[in-house]
Amino acid sequence: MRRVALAAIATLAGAGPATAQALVLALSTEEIRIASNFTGADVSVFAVVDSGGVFNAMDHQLIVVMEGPNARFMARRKDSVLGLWINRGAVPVSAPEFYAIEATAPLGEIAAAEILADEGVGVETQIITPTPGTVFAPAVIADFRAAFIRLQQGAGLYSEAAGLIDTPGAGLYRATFQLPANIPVGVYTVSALLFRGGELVGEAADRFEVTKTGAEQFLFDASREWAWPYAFAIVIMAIFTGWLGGVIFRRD
Amino acid sequence: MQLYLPIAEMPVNMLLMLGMGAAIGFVSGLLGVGGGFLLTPLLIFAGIPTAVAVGSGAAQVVASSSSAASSYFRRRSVDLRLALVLGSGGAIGSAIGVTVFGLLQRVGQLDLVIAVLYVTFLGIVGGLMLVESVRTIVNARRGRPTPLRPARQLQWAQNLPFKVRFRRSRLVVSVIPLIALGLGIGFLGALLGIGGGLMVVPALIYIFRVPTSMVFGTSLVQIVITMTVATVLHAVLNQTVDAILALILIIGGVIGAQFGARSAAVLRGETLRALLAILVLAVGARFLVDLVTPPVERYSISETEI
Repeated sequence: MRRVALAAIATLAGAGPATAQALVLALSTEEIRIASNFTGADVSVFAVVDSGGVFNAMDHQLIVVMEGPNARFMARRKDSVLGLWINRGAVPVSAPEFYAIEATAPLGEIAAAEILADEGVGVETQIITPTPGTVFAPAVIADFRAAFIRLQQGAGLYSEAAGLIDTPGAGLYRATFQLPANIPVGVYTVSALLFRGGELVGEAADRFEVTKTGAEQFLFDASREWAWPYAFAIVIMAIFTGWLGGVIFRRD
Repeated sequence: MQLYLPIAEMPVNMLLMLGMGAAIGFVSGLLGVGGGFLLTPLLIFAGIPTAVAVGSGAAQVVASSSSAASSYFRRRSVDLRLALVLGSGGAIGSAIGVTVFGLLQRVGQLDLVIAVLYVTFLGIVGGLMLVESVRTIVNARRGRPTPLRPARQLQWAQNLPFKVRFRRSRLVVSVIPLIALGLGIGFLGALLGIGGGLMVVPALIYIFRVPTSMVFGTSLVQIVITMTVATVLHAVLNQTVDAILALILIIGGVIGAQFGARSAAVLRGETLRALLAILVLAVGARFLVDLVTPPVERYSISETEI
């Protein structure tokens, strides 16, 4: 009887999006505040499959993607010129400042590469390399793109992990992301994709924000929006502290 | 203890930065220099972005040189008029320097130019200082005085217009070469985050024959003027002055300078100069090594302003 019911659901699931699993997302935080003692933070993503009680975790796979704000970068490469290592090549890159994937299995086992690419999974799909004038050969651009991802991974800003998602209960997933201390501020999106037999059967998205707070926010804003007062305040602080030090430790 | 820097947008070890400021302050108190030529490279080697290191280093130079200048003021060994003439050239030079700095940053060659300039200037200044101090030490050992260099009057400078009389320095000279000197130092100072005392002091003594009693105070006041302009413009145009980083470095520097100045009384002048020369050459050598050794990672990325 049970087997029949499962088979029925499987057929229905294959039939179309109408039978998609309802996926609900919850984040452990809505805002990450960067204060002076900020050394990084963890964000837990909870995904709940609301399937009306019939859910077999074994034939479902979950991918959780956390993506930071987009930014423009310049990727540069050093070459040896007259014995000196000098930045020669430069390729502009548009990419998210943060990009992390966690999945219940290696991505290749969850779905075909084209399906994942369609869903925007994988950092390669996110990186746009604008080519005004197209000075660079595709192979060169591929090198820069690979180097860009490698550097971002080295900085802890890009990651891809399989098997780190907990399943505390049937239909409940918990993925914990570690945000490094150098995390850029902005709005982060989290999307969870539920796959079965290589097909997307449910998805949900949520977002949270990384902001500076207190003095950090104030100083950053001041340096951008009130640049002149900020500059003069620093100079006055410098001269005053210097003068004060001279007075306190006066030797003559 | 980690502390988040709002402009550099990265956490740093506060005690490390405080210690770095104190060490630089110690050296600057010991050797009578601003210390910017050591501080900015140290910050760069410690992983602070070059642009933020230069901008915040400039603020630290303002503090350390105003601290030292105030004591020279009390001793009345500042030629204010000379300092203002040099400083006005310095202000212009530093404005040009900050503009060039921003330009280089945009084309991605800032680190290269800074490294090359450090290698060149630290190499020349350090080399000259080392030769001079070693010669003095050797001569002292052999018990004979080091001959003073023959007075090399600036003949061409005597014919230039806009002569001004600097009473305190007992000097009558055209302002044109003075402003040119200030301009050059201001340009380098803004670009490298250094005060330039290492270069101004010998120039004032050997080229302009400013009395030694006036040289240090005057050069310090000129540095305060130049680096104030540099700090303000770095903050406004390039937005690379980190207030928190600057404050930590300044506090460390002020404390360290006092201990340095006390230790200076124990050591001989030429020994100090030889030490300083070795330090200067070591920093230059480090930049040179970084320039010529194949990098482990050839690629680098920087975010570009939209």
